[in-house]
Amino acid sequence: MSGRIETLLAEAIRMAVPYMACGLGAVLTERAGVVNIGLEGALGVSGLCAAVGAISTGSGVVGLGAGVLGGGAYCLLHGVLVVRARVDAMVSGIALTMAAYGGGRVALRLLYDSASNSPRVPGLEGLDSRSALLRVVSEPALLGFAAGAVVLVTVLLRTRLGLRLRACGDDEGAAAAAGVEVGRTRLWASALSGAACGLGGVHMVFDQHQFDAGMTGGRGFLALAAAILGRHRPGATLAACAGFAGLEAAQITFQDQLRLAPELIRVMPFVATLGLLAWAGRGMALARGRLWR
Amino acid sequence: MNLRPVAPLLALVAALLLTLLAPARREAPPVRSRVRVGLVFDVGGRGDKSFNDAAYAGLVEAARSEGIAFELAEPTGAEDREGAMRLFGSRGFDLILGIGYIFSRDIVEVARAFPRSRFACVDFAGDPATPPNLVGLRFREEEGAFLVGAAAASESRTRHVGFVGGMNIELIQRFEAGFRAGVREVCPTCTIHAAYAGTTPEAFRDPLRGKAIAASQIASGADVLFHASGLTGSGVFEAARATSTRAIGVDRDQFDEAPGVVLTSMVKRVDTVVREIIVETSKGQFRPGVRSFGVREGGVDWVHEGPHAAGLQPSTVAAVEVLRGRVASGELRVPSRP
Repeated sequence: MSGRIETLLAEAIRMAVPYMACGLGAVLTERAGVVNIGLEGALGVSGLCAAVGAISTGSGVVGLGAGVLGGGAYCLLHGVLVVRARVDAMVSGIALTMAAYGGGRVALRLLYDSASNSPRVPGLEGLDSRSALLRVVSEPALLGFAAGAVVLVTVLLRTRLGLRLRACGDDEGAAAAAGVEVGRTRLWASALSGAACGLGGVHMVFDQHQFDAGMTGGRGFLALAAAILGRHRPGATLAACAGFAGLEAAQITFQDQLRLAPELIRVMPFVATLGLLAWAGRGMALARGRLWR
Repeated sequence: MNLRPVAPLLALVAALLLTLLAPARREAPPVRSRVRVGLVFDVGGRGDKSFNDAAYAGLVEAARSEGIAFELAEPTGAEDREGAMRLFGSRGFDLILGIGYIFSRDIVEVARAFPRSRFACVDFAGDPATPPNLVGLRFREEEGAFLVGAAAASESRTRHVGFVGGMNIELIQRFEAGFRAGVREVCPTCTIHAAYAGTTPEAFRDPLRGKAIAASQIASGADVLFHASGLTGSGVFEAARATSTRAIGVDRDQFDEAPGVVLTSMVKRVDTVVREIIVETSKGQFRPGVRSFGVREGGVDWVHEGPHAAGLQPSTVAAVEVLRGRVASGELRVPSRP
């Protein structure tokens, strides 16, 4: 039984990475004042880039770099469309998500002559341990995400750059008056947000050793809900992501004992988010600056 | 909202969508014969290395032997699926094939709307009283799952085996039922761990969940896992590979997905059945209604010969082959409900 609990924990951690990466991405872009509902697409694009990079060079490190760059470039494109071309952020987010999904399938077909999945991706291997937990935790892609997350959260909360970023989201007029270049700040915030999602895409692909069209399974959208639940604070958002993943892992592990409808469990994150919005929504809309530290 | 900057973006999206719609491609052989066949793929489309590809293989084979002409359509959504069938119907195609249970409802309506065309639906799950120009093709998956269930039980050392389903629907429950019966036949005291990835079609392409389910079954002691979950299964193989567990493929010989991990596969001969229907239609022997293909008709089978079955013990192969004979003769009835 202890093996089962350990596996539950390991699976929760493994499944939390894409959520957390996108949750962090959502925090970065939203706090800078750029709404991006296309993070699901960033997850897919970075996964595809990681797969292509790793397969074509045989190197996991190149794959990791390609994934992070791909995710960053995708979100930077969104930033350019929204900030410079003044495209509506919803329109751009939806369009880019759809383009990412369709583009992924087209790329798979062109590159690997398959409509659904890439060949085996040589990822970065962790320890070959008997312990499921140790295997999951020692994966370089997971460690890379953890390191990236620490850096990004520190930058956001503890540096001058992060302060400027938050100022752009809190009150762009005041930020501009104080001499912050709002547009440029938002662009690099978008790129950073995409790079954060990219770490999740890389982990997903390296963990599965394969890129599948649609493997993101809506996790990028769920991460947006987590960011709302966490009120766009990094710690709370990451905790919400961990909660979602834990719920998913628990549902999977105890499926045969638990006679609870799986639909009920899958819908819980959304119910929680909606509940929070209904309860605190008005305050959140009015006092963005006050709610965010 | 100022629309001007949005316009090029919308145009881009529209262009992308148009390319995705993949208009029915012309792949007709130069010789034009009277019989024209239109094939509409399921989600996944060509290159899924699964039953879309199998259906295509059957179509090509029939085209070669019968000299028929064919066209393909790869829809991306429900509306396109019906639209593609209607397109073929309005152009007077003789036989229109829908690949996948997902066509079951639409194809009945389209068949009624185009009474002069004939229709065939693979994995048909609709009403058995079909229109006179529609044949529903069903597989008795439970029989194939029964065979691999017996194989899994014979190969298991821990006496624990696992079943990973995709979307929790009647079709996939049939796999579970057959698998359970197969395990029980060989090893009545073995423990069976069964779980499904979800309740929406997404559950067929969520390898992350597949890996998590497999990992939890392996942690409970299962050492042979059977999946019936489409792309989700690649996560099952991945979990098995990391823990030196063995897995059983589905629908087609999946050995190449994970050599050394895939012990055997339960095979659905979509290619054979598609070819048969086309040949019958071109000979004017089309029969409507629902037809079922099991072990006896060669519609389902398991991989037990050649290098892809090298991981099986000879005693397992012998025992399961005896069971296969009994299923084929009708002496052994495999339940279709778990």
